Amino acid sequence: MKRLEDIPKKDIFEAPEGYFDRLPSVIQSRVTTESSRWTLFAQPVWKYALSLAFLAAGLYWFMLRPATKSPEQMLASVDTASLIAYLNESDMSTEELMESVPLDNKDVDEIHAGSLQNLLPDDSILMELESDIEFEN
Amino acid sequence: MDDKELLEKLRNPDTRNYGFNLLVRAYQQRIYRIARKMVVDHDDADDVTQEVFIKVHKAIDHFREDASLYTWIYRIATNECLTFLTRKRRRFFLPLEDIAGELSARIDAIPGPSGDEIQKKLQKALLTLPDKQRLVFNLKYYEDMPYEQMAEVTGTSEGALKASYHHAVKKIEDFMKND
Repeated sequence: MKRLEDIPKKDIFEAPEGYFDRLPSVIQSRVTTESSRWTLFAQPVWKYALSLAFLAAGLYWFMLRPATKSPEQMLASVDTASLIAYLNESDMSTEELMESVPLDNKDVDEIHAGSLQNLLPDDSILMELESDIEFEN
Repeated sequence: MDDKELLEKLRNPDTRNYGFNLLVRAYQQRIYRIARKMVVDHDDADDVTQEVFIKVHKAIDHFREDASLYTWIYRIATNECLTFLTRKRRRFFLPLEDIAGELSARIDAIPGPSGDEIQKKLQKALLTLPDKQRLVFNLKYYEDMPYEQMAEVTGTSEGALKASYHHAVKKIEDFMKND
């Protein structure tokens, strides 16, 4: 068979039995469902409800968001051992450290006194040194 | 009941549901027929047919009678068929040939007398055409739609539709000869 006109015109696609009896009610129910859904959302009360919901969500976010900590608060939450370990490992010199920390004169005097105290050998070493000197003499 | 009376019922809120029910009953078989030939599978044709009528219902208030109700519904139906096939291809990342192969297998599965073999072969030949050309062929060959109306439905010039149809016939006859 070579030509289209030689083929009898026939529709081989058939719908299941009763399909066209059921289809109008299926479509009608879909239309009703979709219409009622849109009608419900078109009610003025929904506009107010949505606005209120947005407002409540905004307030909730504003009130319950974590407060921003100041640098001092953040530093206070780190334990001393960790701070000392960090400062020992960092390249920051004592001068740089002192420049970055606001200190008054009293603080500076105390640091210097402490530093000098640290430089002095303890009493037992001093006594040993004295006895060595006496022995040589 | 003619389209004018149907429209009057559809536009009156008191008779809108009744009018829509009448419209579905008047057009359901024609729309299903077009959809089934394009998507082959009954469930897919059912989805397309329902979607067409849902869209008709949503848009009926915007129908300005520039075209006849029949043409307007057919335009929605043909667009829905083409969109369905494009979406299906995208969803499964399938090229044209694979969709044709899948639909061809579904045609083989259609029960029918042995004399329908030539009809199945014709449907398989149709699957070798691009979707739009297949649509043009179906509207002309099976629905006997005049070119003028087809031009309104598809938004294509009559000349282009005639050329498309004749090319489609040639391709189908070649397929029937060689396959």
